[in-house]
Amino acid sequence: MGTVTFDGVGKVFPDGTHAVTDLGLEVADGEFLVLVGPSGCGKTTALRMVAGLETITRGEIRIADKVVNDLEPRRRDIAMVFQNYALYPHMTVAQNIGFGLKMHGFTKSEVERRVNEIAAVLDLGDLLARKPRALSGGQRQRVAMGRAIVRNPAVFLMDEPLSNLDAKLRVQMRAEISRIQRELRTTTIYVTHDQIEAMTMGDRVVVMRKGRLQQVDVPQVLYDHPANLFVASFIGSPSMNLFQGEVAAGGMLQVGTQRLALPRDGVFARELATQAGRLVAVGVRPEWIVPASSGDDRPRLRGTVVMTEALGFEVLVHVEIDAAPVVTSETIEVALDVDAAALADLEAERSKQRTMIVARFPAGSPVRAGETIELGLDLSHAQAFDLESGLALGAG
Amino acid sequence: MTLRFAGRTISYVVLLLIAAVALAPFLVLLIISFKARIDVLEVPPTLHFDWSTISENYRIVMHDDGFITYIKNSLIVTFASTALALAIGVPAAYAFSRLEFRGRDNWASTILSFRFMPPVAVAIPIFLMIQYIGLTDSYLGLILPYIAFSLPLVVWIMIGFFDEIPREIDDAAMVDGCTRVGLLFRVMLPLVRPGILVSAIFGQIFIWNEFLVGLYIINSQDRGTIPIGASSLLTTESPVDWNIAAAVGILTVIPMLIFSLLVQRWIVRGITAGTVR
Repeated sequence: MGTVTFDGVGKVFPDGTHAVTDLGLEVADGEFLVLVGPSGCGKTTALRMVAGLETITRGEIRIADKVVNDLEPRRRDIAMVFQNYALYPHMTVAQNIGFGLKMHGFTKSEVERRVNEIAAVLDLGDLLARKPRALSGGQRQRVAMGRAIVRNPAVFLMDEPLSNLDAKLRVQMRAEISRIQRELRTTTIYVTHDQIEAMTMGDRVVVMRKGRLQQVDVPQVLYDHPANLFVASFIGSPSMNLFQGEVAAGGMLQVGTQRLALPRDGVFARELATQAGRLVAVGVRPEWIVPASSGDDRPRLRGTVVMTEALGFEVLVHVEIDAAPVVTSETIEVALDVDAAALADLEAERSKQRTMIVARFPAGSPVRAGETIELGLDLSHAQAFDLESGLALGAG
Repeated sequence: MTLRFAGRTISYVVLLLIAAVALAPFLVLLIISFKARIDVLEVPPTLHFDWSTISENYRIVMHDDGFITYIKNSLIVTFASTALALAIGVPAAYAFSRLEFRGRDNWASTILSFRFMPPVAVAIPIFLMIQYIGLTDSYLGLILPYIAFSLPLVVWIMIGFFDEIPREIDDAAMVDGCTRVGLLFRVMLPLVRPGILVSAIFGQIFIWNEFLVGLYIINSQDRGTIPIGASSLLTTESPVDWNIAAAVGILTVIPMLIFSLLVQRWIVRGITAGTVR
């Protein structure tokens, strides 16, 4: 049915930009696959190549095992939801939803029946006679969804469909789209810039960077075992703490002026055992950093609290530690994608050779900005990356 | 409050002045067209409202001088040229706005530059070409050059209108099952209707008033358009009957006046829609 295959797909724009390079990917029938990455990573181009809105420079795309490279969009049995919805301004909601059916030669009564059916599912019944300009953002979004669903295509393509909605509506529509997709079991390729959308919606998530696939896996694996520094710093909010450490003799890790005992066994220890005497990037997610207490034997790291953010159910504690930050092309790109200030922070850390890390503390933790605290690190969940290649140690 | 009042007064005075300057010639024309020949040169000028004189003046123009034929010719030539210019220019503008092809921007500006040239510069070659293909003194002989004159304007105005429509609409229509051509007709044309009206209006005004090229190509009375006919009435009669000439002038203006009153709503909306929105 609706499988989609990318086979060595490449896209080079006339100006020489390599938007997508050697993309190989298999989307299973009924799967919800999310393409995620910073702006300009090629995710939208990849999607538009499936839609037939962008030519394919190299390789092959197959939908249901049929090569579609030279097929017009209308012959690909796909439906697409666009970032700005792209509703036809001169048509009513009903006409918008029914347009595709009309184009595919359905009779008037059949179009009407299907439109009404979809309108009921999407709660658009009262709006069918309205023009798009008389709709709210959320309503337009639903009409755009309806236009895609009504055709019952082999594949849904969604290009950042929620990015124009406000935060609350976005969460709501996220659940709605997931629900609809689960009910219809239609193969879906969903492009987003928002890694939370990617994590919550995707059966599998593809992380892309500069036109290349970085990692593809189920969200939890992506989170727990990022393949490289880029995925590590891009996925997760707050993102994974990264700092440099030197693998010292005797199962120790030298972090700045402090020395941490490595766990005796586990993947992390085995990975680092091969790196004796070398500098590596150490990645620890915020939830694996807890207030140090006298009873435990976790390795400890001292630092100065710079800021706390109480979120109600937890406190995010920003701590500056004496360690060199991980500044590579990957982390720079992710910082740049956040904003210019994030990049400036990273540069400042590099010049001071100190790193800001974030810890998730239980709500009500008595921590104040300015004080020095001891953090307990659960290194059994830590990741190590090669500083030069950016790849996870022990991967591949 | 008083300041605002003063401001309004000033702006009304200015508007009245502009109106006076613009309307005075027409008013004089109208008054002269109401007079008998003998009264035209009266000093000081006097007002005459003698219905028999008025109807006689206009009857002479309409029937004896065949002005009705000129109006008919003008209507045929103007509407045919505009319709054809739109039929060619609108799809061309869509292509310029959406498709990637070699030298696209150069072509677009070249087409506009055709418009910089005054018709007088090309009147003679156009006449020779039309004569060569044997179309002098025919509607088609007028329509062809008029299409060429109004096309650049149509293309340029329409590019602006197409550019304003998000490309995602094209994409959506193609995914929904349209071909490029299908999407142009089913989705784009309804959306650029104000632009089509605006370019049609500008084209029509130009063609309606065009004189020089028409003068070369048309040499019989029964194919002449209004400007050609009017000029022949004014120049071939000797001595000139000013009252008749004035009636000709009024009749030349009236169709355009009615037309612009009908479409002014569209002109304003179209111009503002095409530029800043």
